[in-house]
Amino acid sequence: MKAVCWQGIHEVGVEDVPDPHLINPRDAIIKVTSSAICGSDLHLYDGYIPLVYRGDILGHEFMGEVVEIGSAVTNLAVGDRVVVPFPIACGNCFFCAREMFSLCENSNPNAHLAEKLWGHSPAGLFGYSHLLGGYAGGQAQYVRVPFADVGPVKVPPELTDEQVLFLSDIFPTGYMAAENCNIQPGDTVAVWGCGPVGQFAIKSAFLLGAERVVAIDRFPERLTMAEGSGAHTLHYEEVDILDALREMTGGRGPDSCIDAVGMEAHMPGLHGMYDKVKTTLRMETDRPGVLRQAVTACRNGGTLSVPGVYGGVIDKVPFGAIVNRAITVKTGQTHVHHYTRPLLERIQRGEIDPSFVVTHRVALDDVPEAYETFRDKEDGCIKVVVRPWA
Amino acid sequence: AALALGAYAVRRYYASREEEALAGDSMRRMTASLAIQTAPRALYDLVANPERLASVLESVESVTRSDQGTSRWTVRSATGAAIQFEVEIVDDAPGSLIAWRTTPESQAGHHGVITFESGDKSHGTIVHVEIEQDMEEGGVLRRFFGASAESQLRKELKRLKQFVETGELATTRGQATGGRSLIGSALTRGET
Repeated sequence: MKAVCWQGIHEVGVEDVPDPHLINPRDAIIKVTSSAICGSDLHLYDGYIPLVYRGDILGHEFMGEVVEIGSAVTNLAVGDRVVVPFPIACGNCFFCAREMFSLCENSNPNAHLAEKLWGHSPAGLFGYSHLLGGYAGGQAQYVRVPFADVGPVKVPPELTDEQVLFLSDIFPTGYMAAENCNIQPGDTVAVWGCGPVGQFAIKSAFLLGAERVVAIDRFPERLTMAEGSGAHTLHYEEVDILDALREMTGGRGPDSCIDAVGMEAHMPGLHGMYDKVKTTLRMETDRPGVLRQAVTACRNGGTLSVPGVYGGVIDKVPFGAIVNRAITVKTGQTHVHHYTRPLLERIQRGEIDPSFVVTHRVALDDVPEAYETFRDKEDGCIKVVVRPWA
Repeated sequence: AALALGAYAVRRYYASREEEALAGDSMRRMTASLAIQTAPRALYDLVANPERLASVLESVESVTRSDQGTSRWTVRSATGAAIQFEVEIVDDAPGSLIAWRTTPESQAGHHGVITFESGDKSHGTIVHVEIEQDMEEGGVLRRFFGASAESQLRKELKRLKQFVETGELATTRGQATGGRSLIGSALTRGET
């Protein structure tokens, strides 16, 4: 089959690799009909996530048709059309029992590596470094899905691939980010980053009852899309974000702040240069510019929700502000399995059509170029859908 | 001041080396514990059965039972060396504890105890393993119980948990990948 492989920093390529096969009784093999490039794939592309090796198959947002099932999978049949959550979860352990699926204790065969870096290991993920299991990903024609009796969700034929594909990650991720804000009537929610997760966080904040959402970015097409969802927009190179947010909230600050940017934040001025230098010298692994600003902006007693990915250690985050102003911080890789069914129902009821984020559609052979376009935000690129059989 | 600090650090270093050398005359101890979602008895039954246990553990090559009630184990060390030892059970409390020691002729002489303690319902069973190894035998021992031994012990306990909770062992062994670099293929052994 053809698959998108990581070949080095800023190098991905399409390679011919053997077709995947069943390894464990609870596995399934999926023929991928649609896949996507995620903003977090760019952290792999840019070399910000450790333990990614040449030859690793990328991609954790995918859906398709079941073509083979292991002997222990009884809830799926060959021919089923399914969308697959990006975390791999066993459904049996302490955390799965609590529906905290991205913390599954049994799906990361390299848990000992993650423990060295983070103290404890989270779940294994598709196509996201050997730290998180080293599982082959779904930017490929076929993919092996472990614990297929737990993850894949059957989708009805009347919904198109693009309407349900994002149940694999970015829709639940934006939704969980908004849910973590514990939104109350009248609340103002500020969202840093109007990439795909930010866009879903904006929509979800409104679905969950936010009075006002403020969207922060610098790319006109992303701000325009956020406006289309009903958000007020702020261009961070044109206005002082902290001043503007104070102005909009009677000096108090937003009730909740969502950092949908993560470890590779771009910040204007000295502040941005500081992190650029420190990460280049490997004195810091991540660039937490947005995190610092979101803490500073947040109202007393408010919530900081972080769906953006961070990998390692960061510097000069004002923890004193968090403590003295009683800010709640909520974060985590998304417990996707917990959200797939209720969010599928929202799509079926017509409350949201997730396909609004798609700007680019490419065949597998064009994926390497699409990574570059997406990274550089050229050509109005917001979300790339991959059609592995086109 | 920096010089004084440096001298102090050097003195501390040699002092700790000495302490280590003294302790090295006796036994080296390692422990691991893990919560597993099942009843103590079910875990005990699995661990008490050498063949079933061996099928779960990564480092075990083979195990056979002798007529004298002991079991002979062949394990692979981190460096790939085969190590053989014979185990006799010295204490056995079905459902709660198994203690063992190796016979004198064994390589990698050690003794150990595994306990199964019933946690509250949501935490299942707390499994606790304690192994003390004889450091006097030198070379082979150090290969098997090197610095990686304790982390290998924790890995094996995790495999036991995976097997008991999910019915299988999470793995990418045998999965397809693109072309590896030399280093990559060494670090991802078993992927094709």
